[in-house]
Amino acid sequence: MRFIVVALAMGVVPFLGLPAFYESFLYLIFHWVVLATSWNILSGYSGYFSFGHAAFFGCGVYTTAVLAGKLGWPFLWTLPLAGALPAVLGVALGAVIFRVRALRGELFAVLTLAVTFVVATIVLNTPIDGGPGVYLSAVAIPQLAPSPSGTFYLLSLALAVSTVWLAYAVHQSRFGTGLFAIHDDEEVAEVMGVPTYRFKLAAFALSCALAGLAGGIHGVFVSYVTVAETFSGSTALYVILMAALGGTRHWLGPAVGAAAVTTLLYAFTTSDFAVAGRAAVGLIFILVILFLPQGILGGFARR
Amino acid sequence: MPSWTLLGQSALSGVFIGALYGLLGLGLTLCWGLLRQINLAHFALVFLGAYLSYQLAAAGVDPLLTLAAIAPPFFVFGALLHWLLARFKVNPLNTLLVTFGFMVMIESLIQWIWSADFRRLESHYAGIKWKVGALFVPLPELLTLAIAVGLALCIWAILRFTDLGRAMRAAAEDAPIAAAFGVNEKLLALLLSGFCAALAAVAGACLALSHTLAPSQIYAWIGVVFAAVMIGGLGNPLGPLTAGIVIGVSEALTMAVTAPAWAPLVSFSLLIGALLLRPEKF
Amino acid sequence: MNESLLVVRNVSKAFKGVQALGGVEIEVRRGEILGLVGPNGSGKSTLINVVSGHYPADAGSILFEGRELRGVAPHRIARAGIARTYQIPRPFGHLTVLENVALPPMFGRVTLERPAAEREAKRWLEFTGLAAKARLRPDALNLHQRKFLELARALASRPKLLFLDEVLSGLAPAEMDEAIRLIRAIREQGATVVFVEHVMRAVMQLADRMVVLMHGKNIAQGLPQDVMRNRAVIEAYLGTADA
Repeated sequence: MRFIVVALAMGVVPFLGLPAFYESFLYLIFHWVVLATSWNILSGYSGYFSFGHAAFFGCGVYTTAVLAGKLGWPFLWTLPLAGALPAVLGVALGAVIFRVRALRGELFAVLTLAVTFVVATIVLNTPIDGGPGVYLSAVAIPQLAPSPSGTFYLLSLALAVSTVWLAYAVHQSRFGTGLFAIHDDEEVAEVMGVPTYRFKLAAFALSCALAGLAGGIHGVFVSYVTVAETFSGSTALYVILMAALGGTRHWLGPAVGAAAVTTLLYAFTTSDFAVAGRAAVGLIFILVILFLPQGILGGFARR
Repeated sequence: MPSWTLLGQSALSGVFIGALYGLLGLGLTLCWGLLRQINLAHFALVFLGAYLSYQLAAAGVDPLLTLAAIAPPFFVFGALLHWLLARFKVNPLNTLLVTFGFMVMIESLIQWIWSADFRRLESHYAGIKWKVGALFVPLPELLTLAIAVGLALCIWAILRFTDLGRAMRAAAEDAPIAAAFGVNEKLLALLLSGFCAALAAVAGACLALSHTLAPSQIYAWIGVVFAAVMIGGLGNPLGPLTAGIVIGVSEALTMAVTAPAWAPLVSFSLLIGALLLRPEKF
Repeated sequence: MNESLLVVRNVSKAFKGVQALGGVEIEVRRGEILGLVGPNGSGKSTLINVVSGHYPADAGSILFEGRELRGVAPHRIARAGIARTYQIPRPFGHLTVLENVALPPMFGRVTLERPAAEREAKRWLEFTGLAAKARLRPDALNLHQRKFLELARALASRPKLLFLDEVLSGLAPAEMDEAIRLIRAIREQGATVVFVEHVMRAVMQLADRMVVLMHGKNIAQGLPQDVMRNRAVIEAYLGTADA
């Protein structure tokens, strides 16, 4: 339906001969759309606010980095694993955490924050990275478009459209209704028949897999990955900000927020005020939580 | 297998770092336990305090005396922060988000003023260390331990034995009822929040005494200090200290026996263990 | 001959030292309306919570149509055909009234797709008189309407066994009559009803049989007129002022 039309329409862009800048800028927007929307599928819909999205993103980044950068796998072949490994990690964590009734709300947030540090440390101190970072400039980029930036554009476009479509599909489905019920009153939802444990695990797995896929693509896009950059605290912040700004109850909310914040940040970074830009993002975050708790699309959240 | 001396020194350094965890976690646990306010900005405040100590020490002031200038403005900030959160009736989860925003703003401020380069506070404390038996005891770390233990005990005693402490605990349990009994819980909350920010300043000064500073380092402490706070029990002033020392010693011994890489795993595993075994503490 | 639908045998539940249920024995027969009464703290709500799976029982057995329910996950208990209302209504705050009532049919004994579930929900909203409020959020309803929302939500999954937890408390007499009428109609639709109530008038009017709980134990069971004359009951519990 409309998603395919949008995807096809936007898929034309790399073939228009525009400067690579536009393709890269749009790539960034799609990248954040995927991260914010995937985060929202678990955290926005069910209310289990994860502060650890960077952990799964980073897991995907390094899966591709090791397979393509160090073991010579073809880039596209690494992507299924870049999606699968974070999902497995997420399910393993969720299997333990979701069983404990007390680990909700603030505790879940803090716990997932801690996960990011642990994963980062493991990556930093083992042969996965080891410290110097991983160079991916030698990885062959498939020729899906006239230029490499065009290829990345198409890859992230495909991922972004799929992710938003998945968010939409979940939102409309029985699965999504269950998640929203869990958000409001998990115990009552369980008593009304919602298999809360299974649903949370499924949402978590889906969220992690999509973040991992975004990571797999991103690593090769930036061509040099380090632990500090990949697992930085700002990823968690931006993702939550984008979803909160756009509206966590709406399937398109995070995408709207992602586009807005990415554009804003870009405007700042290019004007020599990168640090001020980050501070401004922090301020916007505060203002959104205080004054606009529903987000931009909050009023349109109904089916 | 390392020698006993090495193990002993490791354990001792674990105690020292654990004391710092405890000091860092003190303000956090009080705000979270007594005010249901999870202040992520606490970490940025600690670093801001550390940088300010560094700056004033570079101008010749004794690092510990810098607190006289730093703690009061921090107190005001802490009170204002609580006022803001109370005014907008921000629920506990969202306090995490709002303070996350403040953390980013403060971190940006630090980076803007002092740049991302590493800074090291040079003080006459740094060079002094004593030998106790086969072990070395450096003065800055000993000072931190003393301050951490002293503050934790004082606050614990205040909460336990004084009217002020009782009033705070009552307000934390059930604010409207406490208010009905004459407890000015709004004022107490502002004072407590301010006090926690001042504690951040103290932790910052101690941090500056023994660690090199960089804005990126802020995030490195979040995981382990939260672990210490949660394991020690929210609102318990002695909690982060005892848990911190346990974590610190476990980490140090792990590092001595295996590789330094795995230290964060220790705190995380302890945390998971505590949460799974005693979830009712939360 | 009415067979047993639910058999609660020697069920206990304690909360941090307080023994809420201490070896309760109750039998619910198919198609009946069973009144569950007792003073505050006697364990009525706890019993509902334990049977519906909201809390796990410490000991004992709960047999529903011959199947053991103790230790079973709450969502499976719902699938088996047990539904309950909450004494203090707990609707899903961010969902509309219609969505609230449409949820159980999607997850309960029969799992319907959304369009069918919403049709089913509309039916129960009409039954409880809330059809006009379908697109509103629960916080726009008053207490009486929220209680009926609880009722509609519990009914929407077409349960075999329905627990009503003080549905009538807080209602004006006219609203109460309407509720009593509804409860009778529910039984006519084929559900078995266990209702907890303090309002003795309603219990005497509605209940086929009665069970009296006291300190977490069943002290009397039988026809309402017999139970009310039971010495132990009279001594322990004289009922509320509403008669």
